[in-house]
Amino acid sequence: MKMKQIISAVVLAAFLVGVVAAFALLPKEEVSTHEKRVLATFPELELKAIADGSFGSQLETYLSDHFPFRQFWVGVHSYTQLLTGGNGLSGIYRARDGRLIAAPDALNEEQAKRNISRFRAFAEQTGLPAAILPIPSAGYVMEDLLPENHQQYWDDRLFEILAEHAGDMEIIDLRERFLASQERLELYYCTDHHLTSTGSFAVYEAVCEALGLESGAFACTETVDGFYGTGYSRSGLWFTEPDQVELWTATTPGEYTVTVYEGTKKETFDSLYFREHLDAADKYPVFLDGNHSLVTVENAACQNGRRLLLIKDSYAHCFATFAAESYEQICMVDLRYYRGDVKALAEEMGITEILYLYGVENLAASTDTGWLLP
Amino acid sequence: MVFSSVIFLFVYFVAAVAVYYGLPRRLRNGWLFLVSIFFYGYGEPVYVLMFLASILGNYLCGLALGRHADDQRRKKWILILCVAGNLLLLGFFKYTTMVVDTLRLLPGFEALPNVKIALPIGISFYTFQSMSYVIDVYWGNCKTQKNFVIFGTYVALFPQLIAGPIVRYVDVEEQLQTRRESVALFNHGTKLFLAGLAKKVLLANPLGLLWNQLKLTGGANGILGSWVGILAFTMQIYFDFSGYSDMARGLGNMFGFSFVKNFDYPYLCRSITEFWRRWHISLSTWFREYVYIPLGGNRKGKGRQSLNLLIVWGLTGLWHGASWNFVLWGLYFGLLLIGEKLFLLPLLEKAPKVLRHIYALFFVVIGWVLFDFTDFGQMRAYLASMFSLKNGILGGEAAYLVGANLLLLVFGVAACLPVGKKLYLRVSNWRIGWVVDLVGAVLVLLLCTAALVSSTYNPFLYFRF
Repeated sequence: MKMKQIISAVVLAAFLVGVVAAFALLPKEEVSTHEKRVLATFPELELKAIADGSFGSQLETYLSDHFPFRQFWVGVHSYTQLLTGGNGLSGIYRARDGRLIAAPDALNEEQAKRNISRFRAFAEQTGLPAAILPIPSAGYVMEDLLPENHQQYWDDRLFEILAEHAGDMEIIDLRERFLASQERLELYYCTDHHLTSTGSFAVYEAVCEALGLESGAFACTETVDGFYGTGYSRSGLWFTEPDQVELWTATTPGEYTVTVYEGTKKETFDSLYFREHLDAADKYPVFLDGNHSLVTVENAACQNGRRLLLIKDSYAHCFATFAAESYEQICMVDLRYYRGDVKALAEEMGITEILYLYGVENLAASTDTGWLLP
Repeated sequence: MVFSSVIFLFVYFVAAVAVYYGLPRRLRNGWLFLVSIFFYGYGEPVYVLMFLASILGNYLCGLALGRHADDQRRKKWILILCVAGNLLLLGFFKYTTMVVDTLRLLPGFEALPNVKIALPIGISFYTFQSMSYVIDVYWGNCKTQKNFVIFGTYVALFPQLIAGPIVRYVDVEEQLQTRRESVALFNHGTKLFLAGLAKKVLLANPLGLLWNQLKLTGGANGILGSWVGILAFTMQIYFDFSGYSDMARGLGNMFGFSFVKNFDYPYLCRSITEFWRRWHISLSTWFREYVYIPLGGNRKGKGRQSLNLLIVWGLTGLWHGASWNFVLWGLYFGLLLIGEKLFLLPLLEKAPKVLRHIYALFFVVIGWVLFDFTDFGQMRAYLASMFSLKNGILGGEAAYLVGANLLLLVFGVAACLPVGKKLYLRVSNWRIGWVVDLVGAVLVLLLCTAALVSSTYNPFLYFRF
């Protein structure tokens, strides 16, 4: 009887001690690729920090960030949640065939109206023709793949609000096109919320139609495996199959100059693709190097005099690699980071038209649109 | 430091237990006192000094009562001063903001400044524990504790320091000096601790998430959605509180202590009177022994009894939180208890058991609405949504949440019943029962670790990388 109890105590103690030993012995990582953030370092041992309690909470964060086999534990929790009916509680649904689809956040109608009105006001201020293109959410387009118990996607409601508040802006509505598309299931990645190259090309064709541009012919020239996107990271469902990233080139490629502005620095490149990202798990930044406050793409081979101000979120990066074919210059501004005078920028760059390209979630929820109208 | 955290489970706890058993018996209380003060200081690096001062103050009062054992008048004054001191400490930190905010509502006081005083952790518990000691010494129920370390260990014992149970000195007086640790008790403690941890991490936390989400969609939940919401809270608060009590008792076991149970399947109750014999037993015991009975209890007629009940329950409510909704919650139960004592109980005896359960649970659940909403407007709105078909039966968002949490809700309900305990006892009688038990314990530990680590998993998806 006593032996059994001692064994019990020893097993449980072994677990605790094992974790402590693993923590002490395993090397600590500095950065978490899945969480896309720097992991906490051991907090400074200062009297002041101890006195106000911040040392304690920082220590807890440090221990949690470097907990042994952290990814394993997150995975255990995610799969347990999935298996007990909690599909979607992490913010990502596991849809049919293992596809990961982001769940909708609550729609803040007031914020959506504010954002759309600001876009309209900015366009009126500059006097330039403007179009607005909300990218429908993956869950809206592929609702039939979602688990039976799922939240409602509000894309239709957003388009209603858009119709009421857009004013003279041209609304490019992709809902019908996407829902009816032959390639409906290839428009979005399975592990990431962004559009695939196929999807971005469809957007490009729609934009050319709507804005009277000549669309170039493109073909897929390169496929890269092993893309683990935002859905993968956020869901913790580590057994999900990765996506492939396709790099498309035009049959008559242009001569591109990409300039990336960051703060006071600017760097020039001659390719739309930033191949170093293809070695990472999140390969999406291969398109124009991911999120920057300002990126300009010039195409010397295009002489139609059209220069676009693209106010966007990350959905536009892949789109821009196609659109570069049909514009002399594309000036991509990300309001999450850009703090300059956008109107002045437009004048400086000789902009002829504006396109607002946002995923529906960001169009409704963004709190950065105020930077357009200082 | 919370029990359900990485630093407690994998650092503090391991060290505290390891050193405890490495020390000779006579140094063990000293070690417990030391680690308990450290435990408190970790969460309250500044107020730990005030805590030590409070322990010292109460200790000295105990000594004084012993020294003047024959001087009734002097003893009375020492008691009054000591209790007043404890109450002033508690009152200042906990209730000043409430008093000022309430005064500001009166004409002439609108200009009162905003007062924000940080509430030192555990103050509601340790002041009550200290007072139980002093009052019982005064009444002669126990002897003065002349050893400061032993007294300090009693007040500061980390298992029950932060979230109870409120351990009366008389209940542990002997154990402080003559307890015997054993493998059996230690094992019992680990199982109890794991059960508490599971209640907190695997049930209370996700139920809390569900309740928070349903509160956000408030009116749109529909009548069923509103009820599921408050039922989620009903279960959350039980698992949270009883989980902590289980962990406290389990930890106590591991150091050779046996604390009194604080919860006894409260949702099995068939009357409000019974509910309060099963819920937060240590608090109702404290109020009964030190307030209700001294006020006369039920020995001075029905009228006085009703008044005593109102006073005690008003104070019980107030103890739970420095806000008027808590007082309302307390008085609400006070009135129900008066009603039961005066005429309801005999009526209930005649009713079928099911109806009695429904009656009791209905009022308990309504009580939780009063408890959780500090804003009276929101409270009214939520109560309204529980009884109105204005928003249908089950709103869209609520339907998704209920569906996704269905298994959790079912497990929650099962865990409110003694089902688990009976199953556990039956399995223990098998030959390989101990293996099943161990596997279960390891599984619980794994799932809890996964949940704790996950809760800090924080993908920052748009970072510039």
